[in-house]
Amino acid sequence: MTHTTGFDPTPGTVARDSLEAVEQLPAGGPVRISVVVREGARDGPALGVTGSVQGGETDPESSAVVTLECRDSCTRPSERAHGYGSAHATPRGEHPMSDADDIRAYTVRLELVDRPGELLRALEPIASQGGNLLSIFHERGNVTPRGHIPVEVDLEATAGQFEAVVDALRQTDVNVIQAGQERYGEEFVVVLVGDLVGADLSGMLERFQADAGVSVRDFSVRGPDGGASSARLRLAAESGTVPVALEHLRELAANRGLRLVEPLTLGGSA
Amino acid sequence: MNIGVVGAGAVGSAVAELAGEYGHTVTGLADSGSSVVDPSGIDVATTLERKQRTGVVGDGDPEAVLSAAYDVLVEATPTTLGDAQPGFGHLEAALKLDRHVVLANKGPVAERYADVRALEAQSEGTVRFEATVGGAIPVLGTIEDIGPDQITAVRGVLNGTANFILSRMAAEGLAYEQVLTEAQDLGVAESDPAFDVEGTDAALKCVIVANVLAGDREYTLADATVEGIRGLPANALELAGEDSRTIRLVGEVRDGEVRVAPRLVPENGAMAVSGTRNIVQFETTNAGPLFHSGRGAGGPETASAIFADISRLDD
Repeated sequence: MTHTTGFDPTPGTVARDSLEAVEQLPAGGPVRISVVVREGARDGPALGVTGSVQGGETDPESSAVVTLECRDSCTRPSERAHGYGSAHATPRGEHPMSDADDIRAYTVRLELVDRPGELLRALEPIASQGGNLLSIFHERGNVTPRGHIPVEVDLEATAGQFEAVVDALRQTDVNVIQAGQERYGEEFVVVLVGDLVGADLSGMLERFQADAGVSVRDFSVRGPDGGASSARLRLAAESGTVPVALEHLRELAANRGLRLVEPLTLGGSA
Repeated sequence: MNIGVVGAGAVGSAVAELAGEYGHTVTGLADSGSSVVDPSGIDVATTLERKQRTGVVGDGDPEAVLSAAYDVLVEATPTTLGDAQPGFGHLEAALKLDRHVVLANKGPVAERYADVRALEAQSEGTVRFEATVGGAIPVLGTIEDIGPDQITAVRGVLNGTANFILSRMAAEGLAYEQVLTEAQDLGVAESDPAFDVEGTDAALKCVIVANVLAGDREYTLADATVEGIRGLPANALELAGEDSRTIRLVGEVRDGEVRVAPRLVPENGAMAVSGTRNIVQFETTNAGPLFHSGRGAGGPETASAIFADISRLDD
C-alpha cells in the first residue's frame, strides 16, 4: 500500500488516511512509521515530510509509504543529535517560548483500544500541542493483557509542550504507560528461577518490556549452583498497572517453565 | 463445660491436659484405636501416661466418645482431604446430638464447608474452628470481631515448617535439601514434608479464611492456586537479599481468590518472620492493616485457640 496525504498540524488532520491505513494492516509484526523531513522543504510554509512504514511482515501488502506535508506555520526544526529530520510544527495561535525551552526528543508509550481511528486520536494531541512527531512504533500483532495494542511514539517538543501533550493524551482517555524519561509509577522486584539460558530469558524480557509497558531497571543473575539459576529483576511500571504486568509475566514465565517469585503487595503498595 | 476429645496427638493431648486449668472437665478421650469415657471426668494424667506407655488411651471403642456425655466435642484428628473423614463423621455425630463442635482438624471446614454449615443449621450445636488457622493466633476471632465485610484481604505466613526452611536457607546460605533434613532431625518437618513444603497446609488455612470471609460461596482446596517452596535454590534467596528482600511462603485471600506462593517480602518487614513463627495481616476498610504474629503450631498453643472457641460458646 502506498499512501500520500496532506499533513496539517492542526488537530484532527495528522495524515488521517495514512494512519487509518496503518491501523488496517493485517495483524502481524510491529510497524514503525518514521517521519523524515524532505530536504529542501524546511523553510517554506509548505514543508514536505516523508514517512515510511516498515511492516513487520515481509508481505509487501503490509507495508505502506506515508507522505506527510506540513502546509503552513511550520518553523525550522531545531538541531538534532539523532538521525531523523523533523518539522517543528507550531499550531496556529500558539507560540511556545522556544527561546527559553530546549526542544528534546521524548518517547511516549501508549496503549490503544483496537479500534479504527484510535491511533489517529492518540496522535492528535501531539500536533495540537505543538509537538513534532518523529516516529510511531505500532505493534499490531501484540496485545497487552488488557487486550490493548501497545504504541510507542517518538516526538520532539519543549518540556512545557511535552507536559501539555501528556496531559492532553490523558484527557482524551488515552492510556499513557510511559512518558519521556520519567516512569509514572512503581518499581517492583521479582525473582525468576529455573533454566534461564534454556528459557531465553533475554528474549522473554524484551518481549515483556514491549508488551506490558514495563521497563527493566536492574538485573542480576546467580547460579546455576548445580541446580537452577535465579535472576532478580527490578522493574518499573505505571502506577496501578503492576498487577496486570505481573499477570503477564507469570504467564510468560509459566510458558517457559520458569518459577516466578512475585513481590507481596501489602495494602496496595509494592 | 464437659469436653469430649477425639484425637490424642499433640493437640488432643494438650487439650485434655490443660482443660482443668480453663475450668473444664474432660469426659472422654479417644485416639484412633481406643477410648476412655467417664461422665464425671476421666483421669487425664493416667490416661496420657498410658497413651505414652502403651500407645492407646483406654479399652473402649473410639466411637464411644461421640455418644458419651459432653457439651462440646473437640475434633483433633489429623486433617484429611476430600471427604474429610473421619473428622467430618465425628462432627456430624456430635451435631446430630445437638452438641457443640470445636475443630482443630482443617478437613471439614476446608473441604466440606457447606456441608458443615448445613448440619450446623439443623442442630442446636455450634461449630467453631479457630485452631484450624494460625495455631495460637486469633485469626478467625479477629475476622468475627472486625466483621468479614470490613476485611478486604487476609494474608500471612501460615506454615511454620516452610518458614523455618526459608529462614534457615536465607540466614545460612544453605541448600533446600540440607535445611529440610535439618528440620526433620529437629522434628520441625515431618518425614513426609509434602503437606508443608508444597503449600497444601497453608492453602487449607487460606481456604478456611476464604469460607469465613465469603459467606455465600464455598471454597475448597481445588479453588486455591498453590505453589510450594520445594526445590527453591539458595541463590534465589541470595538475590532477594541483595535487594534487602527475602522469600516467604505467603498465603493470600483477596478479591475472592486464594493463593499460596513463595513471595518476595522486605527483609526487615513484618512478613519476614523467622523460624516456625507465623504472621497474619488483615487489611481492613476502616482500621487499616492489622498484624497478628505468634506460634502457628504446637500442642498447648493450638489448645489455647480451642479454649478460646469454647469460651465463645458460652456467650
